[in-house]
Amino acid sequence: MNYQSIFFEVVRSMRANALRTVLTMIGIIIGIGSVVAIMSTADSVTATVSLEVEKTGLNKISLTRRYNGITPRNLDDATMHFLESLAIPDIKGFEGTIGVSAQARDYKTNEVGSIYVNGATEKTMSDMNLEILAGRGIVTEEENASQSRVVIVNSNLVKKFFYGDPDAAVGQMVKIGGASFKIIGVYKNASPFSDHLAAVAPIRTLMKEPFDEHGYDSLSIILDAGGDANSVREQIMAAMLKARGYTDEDKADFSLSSPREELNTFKQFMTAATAVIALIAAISLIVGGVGIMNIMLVTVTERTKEIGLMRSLGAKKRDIVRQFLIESITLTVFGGIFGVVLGIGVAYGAISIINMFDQMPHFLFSISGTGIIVSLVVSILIGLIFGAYPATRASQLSPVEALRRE
Amino acid sequence: MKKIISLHDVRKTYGTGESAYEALKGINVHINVGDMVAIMGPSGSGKSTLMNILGLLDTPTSGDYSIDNRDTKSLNDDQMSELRNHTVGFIFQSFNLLPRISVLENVERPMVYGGVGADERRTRALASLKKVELSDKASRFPTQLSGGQIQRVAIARALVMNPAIILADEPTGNLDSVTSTQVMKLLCKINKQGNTVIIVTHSDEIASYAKRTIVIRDGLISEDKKS
Repeated sequence: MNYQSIFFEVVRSMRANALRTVLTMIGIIIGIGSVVAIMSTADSVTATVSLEVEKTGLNKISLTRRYNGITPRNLDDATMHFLESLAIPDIKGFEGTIGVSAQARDYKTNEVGSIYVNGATEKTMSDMNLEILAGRGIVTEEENASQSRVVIVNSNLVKKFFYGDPDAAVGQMVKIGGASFKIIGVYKNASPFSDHLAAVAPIRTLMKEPFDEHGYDSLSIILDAGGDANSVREQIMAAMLKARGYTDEDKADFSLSSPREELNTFKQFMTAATAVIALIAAISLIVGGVGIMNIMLVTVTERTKEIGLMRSLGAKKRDIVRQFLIESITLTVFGGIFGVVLGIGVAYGAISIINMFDQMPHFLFSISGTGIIVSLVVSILIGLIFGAYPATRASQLSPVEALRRE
Repeated sequence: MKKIISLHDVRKTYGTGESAYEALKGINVHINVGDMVAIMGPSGSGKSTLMNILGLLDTPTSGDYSIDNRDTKSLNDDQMSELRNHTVGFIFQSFNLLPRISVLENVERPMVYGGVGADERRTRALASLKKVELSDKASRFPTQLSGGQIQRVAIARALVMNPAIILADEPTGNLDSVTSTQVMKLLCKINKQGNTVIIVTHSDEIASYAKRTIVIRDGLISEDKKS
């Protein structure tokens, strides 16, 4: 049995009934399209997040306080010195982070707003990649050491207190938490939709009044490029458990992150979540398959006489089955191909729309290869499963009955 | 003379019980290799039923039918299909060609079912079309042909497997007299080359081409004459 001549016959009959063909395929197109769109969008998100994490955080382990029924001990300079004294290889340095919430008040109008102040050093500031609109983007080591009350504020604060003029704001004073801070720079908000007030101040400034922070919110252990994060994490964990008198990591009043594991967990989560959503979308494929079965039953009825003719020419039952299976599979595979194109288009559109909002990070567009292969295999299976009954029915007609049918 | 077809007390009953209808009531006939036979009879006489049985499209309710020395009783569906493919070439009154494939592909189709390779199929189909003088229509589609041309393509297709028997059911039923003559002359030519030709017809003129005429009436052979 030659498939090529059957295939061309099928394509010609699909073209002759173009509208019917397209309507029949719509179910498959939408089903496959949504599966591919979901999988490609999820791939894009995973790729983007992975890239961001690799860029910024893979060489960083965070030590944080954990509330485990009791108030955890502070992470302060003493902790940092202790970690330094361990002299663990692969460690490049340590950084503390502090963030405080306070009230900001304008000097002239007494207008107030809540503000979030992040502590920084000269070094950590340069890693923040802030877009500076006026003044400086760096707090100096001197300002840090002397706990100077200087701040670099975001453009929302300038909009709220200084009529949106960054140059006018630099050099002015603003009250934060009741104390006067001098504005030394203005940076642009990351998100255009947020109106939160924020500022960056020298980290040691946050340790004196009015904030009086006694320790860091978290301590970052920065690794050398290519450093063994797992080994460093284990050594720090062992030393910290011993120093604080714990035997069980889960009962300690601190915790250590491991970015690579977290990234892997995130990827696993994305894969599972995508599979579940794609599976739900795939339910529409059953509807599409029923549409295919319906039209194939109509086709078999319409071509009863042709089936009789084929049988008179020596077609066996399995030749008839094959002919109609090729027809249904051709329908679903073409539907699947259009669906893949549609799905990629939708995913591309979605990512483009997300990227239109000028925010970080910029999303990458990624096509899910797995999604495409799975879709096409599923298309073939649907053609096979839902074409089987009509095809078998066609083959069971007696030749003489089929020929007699008008 | 070697027999190609033998029927012994072939009966065909449609339906069961009260509504049962006996279309063939015991047909006994032999047809020799190379003969040209006309089967005649009024409508409802059972001649179509007989043709379907001869062509292995239908099976007798009782009686024996052998074709090419094979008893048809023992054949399964695949074997019947193979016999239709190799041993019988059909020419119907109407609806002879598959509408969505070209003339050439129509002529190739029996070879597709017979497992002939693509190159050989093309060569043989073209040769067969040449015999009916339709080589120039090979790439046309059935809707682009006249009634006479369609019948000739059907003959080309019937010939392409070189079957022992050509079975024509009212082959000129839809044709005018000029094209009818063309088609009948073609069938005579084929018969001269050794194929057994059986024509079902109700026209005396068509039957006059045959060497032997079998008349069916009420499910029985009422006349069997050589001309």
